[in-house]
Amino acid sequence: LSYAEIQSPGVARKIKMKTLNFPGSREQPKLVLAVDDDASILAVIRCALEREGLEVRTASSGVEALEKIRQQGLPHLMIVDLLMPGLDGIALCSEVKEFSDVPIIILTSVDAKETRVDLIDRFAEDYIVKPFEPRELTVRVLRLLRRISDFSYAMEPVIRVDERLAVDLAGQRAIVEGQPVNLTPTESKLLYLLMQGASRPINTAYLLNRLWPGSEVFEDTLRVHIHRLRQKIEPADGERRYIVTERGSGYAFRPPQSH
Amino acid sequence: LTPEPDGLDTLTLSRLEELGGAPLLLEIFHLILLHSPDQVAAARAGWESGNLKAVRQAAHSLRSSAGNVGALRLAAAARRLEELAVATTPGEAASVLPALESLESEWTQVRSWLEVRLEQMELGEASS
Repeated sequence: LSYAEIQSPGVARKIKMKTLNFPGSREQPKLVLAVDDDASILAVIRCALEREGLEVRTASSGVEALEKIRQQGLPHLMIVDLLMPGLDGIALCSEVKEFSDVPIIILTSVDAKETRVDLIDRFAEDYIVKPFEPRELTVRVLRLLRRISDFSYAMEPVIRVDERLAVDLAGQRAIVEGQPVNLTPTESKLLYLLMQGASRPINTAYLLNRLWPGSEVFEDTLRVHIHRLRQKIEPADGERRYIVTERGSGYAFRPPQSH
Repeated sequence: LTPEPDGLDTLTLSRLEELGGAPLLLEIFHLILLHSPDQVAAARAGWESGNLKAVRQAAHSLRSSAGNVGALRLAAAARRLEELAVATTPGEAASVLPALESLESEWTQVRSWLEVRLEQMELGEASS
């Protein structure tokens, strides 16, 4: 959707922009996006996860998955096959990890140890080899959601933080006082990570590790990105309305209604 | 009931039935019967045109579907074809033919079984 479309009242109602849910608010069902070119696998995944109260969306290719993310918003977790025609699983994961830190489980027939190690090192939180036991997949999904995906707001294409700020993570932009502001992939991912913390402080080391996995990047670099992100989304008067520095621990995303 | 052919893992089918009952099994059987013939045809067409990448892709998809319903021999045949397609140069494509024929033969057996089982299940649903 273009910015003009988002702003039009009719479309805005349809988009159902959602205000952030912070701890204590009613929990949304967690959303899982499963991507596989085998429809019979998708049927099993859907059946197994819906029994656990999860909402499951499916895509039969990497391209379709990206399109769904752009149109419907990021999921809380993705299950991704590797070998798919067109945009394959690795390319899809790389692209999604550019602007977010959605946890990813690789579900594939590729059982080569090097591939497994490489993908877990680069972007996968878990790796399951087909044929798989549906119960095992469910347990791993639930464990992962509990462990790292505490993204407690609804996964809408445009997430409304408050009356002043909305965020379109997949589109890599913020909408500040009605004006679209482009974010770099790093800023977008940083914002995702901070929002994932749901007002709790996020440790600096954790942020460095998730933003630049496997690279030696120093805190100063993170500070620069935080500064630039603040310049883009915080009020011009210098007030720190959203990103709060927690001395000795890191940063927290704490918009006014969560105080 | 039709006896399961050799190479079919009944435990996998039981687990699927336990997970989603007859509706899930029906859905999976329908999907495999709908899509797998295209994959088998794509493997054959890939081989005939010397496109081993297409052979690999089709064999990989079949391996996934076969494993999902516990068709172990079909999955093994698909895996063999997939690995050969990766390891073979276009000039040696003829050496892949026995693996392709083996896959086609396994698929024929699995398809017959699926069709009969599907018919039985749909008749059972209609009469209940």
